[in-house]
Amino acid sequence: MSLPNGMPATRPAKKKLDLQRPLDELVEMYADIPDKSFRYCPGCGLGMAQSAIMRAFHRAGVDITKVATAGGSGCYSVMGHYFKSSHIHGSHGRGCAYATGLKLARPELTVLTLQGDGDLLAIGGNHFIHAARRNIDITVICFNNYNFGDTGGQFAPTTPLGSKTDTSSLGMPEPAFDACKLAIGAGAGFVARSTVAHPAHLTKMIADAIEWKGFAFVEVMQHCHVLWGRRNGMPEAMDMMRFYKDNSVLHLSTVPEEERFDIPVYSEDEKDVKFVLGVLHREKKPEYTEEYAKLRAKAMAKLPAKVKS
Amino acid sequence: MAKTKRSFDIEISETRCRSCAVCWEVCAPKVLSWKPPLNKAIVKDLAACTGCRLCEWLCPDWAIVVRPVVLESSEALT
Repeated sequence: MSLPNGMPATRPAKKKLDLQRPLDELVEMYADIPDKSFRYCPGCGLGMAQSAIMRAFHRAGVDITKVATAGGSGCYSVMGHYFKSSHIHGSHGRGCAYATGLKLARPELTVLTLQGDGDLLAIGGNHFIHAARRNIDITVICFNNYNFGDTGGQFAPTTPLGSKTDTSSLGMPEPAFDACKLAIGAGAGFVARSTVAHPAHLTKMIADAIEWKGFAFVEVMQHCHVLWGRRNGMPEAMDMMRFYKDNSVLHLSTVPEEERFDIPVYSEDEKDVKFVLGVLHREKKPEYTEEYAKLRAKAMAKLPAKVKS
Repeated sequence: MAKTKRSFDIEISETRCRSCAVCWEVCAPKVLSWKPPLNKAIVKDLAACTGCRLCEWLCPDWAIVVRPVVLESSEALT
């Protein structure tokens, strides 16, 4: 039985959020972590994002032996080794290139790239936009900490206008990259943004991105209080998390059209610029590995019988 | 009809904790606190825990595990 508009009379059952599972059980299922603490600075948002990615694996219901991650250089680059999945620790900025090749060779795998903002948008910008254009079924997770953290806090393409970094001590003169807008412009099917200060929301965004058929991009606002925060009056991890809580808007409908997708602008007198969290873009498009399989079948049909055998 | 009181058990790993202050700052009922001189996180008031699990979700070093303790209703009343 169905309603006049074609919708089924009974809604499909909502997936239950497994919020009550203790961390050590999840670690046993999905992660392979050392006895001592991680390689990040104390209080770093990467540990929180890593926790959210593990919970997203659990929520999306993926088989961890069928997951492969790719990444380049940066603070985040140890993260892939902390999961039970396979990991390619490649050259700087080439995560999307490795993921594209891997997905084409083994389409049954769930392929993620874990990349930082400098890695993905500065050095690997070309790989990123062309992976988005092809709409290949990979999930790109970008950890945006507003600077190059691994090398000592130089400014990156995502450094907000007016903020101080190691190499822009009087204030950043360039406007920042909006990674989500870039992904939408390049043709990504699923674009979402979240922060580490909203852990449940972040988990949901990453799980939705993993389940999405096609190119999915999640921008994770992840604080670097040691390098960026210290120079901008937020020396503790909690200061930066309050900054994210105060400057983010969870519902798109509460923001007027002209202010949407705004990147944060940080200055002494103006701290009230909002950025929008949530799914910013969703569009179904033909997926690249399927199109490529069709092309291959067409080419194989044209071959003479001698060559086929 | 008496309500079953839910209680939680919080386990903090001292080797993993690096005193970043996130857990006791996010804890609204002030269950967690710190201990000098290294300022590692400790459990101060376990009875006040509401089981929101924000500390477990946000701990950057995965040092905190929150487990629900299932109590019989008669036990909870006493």
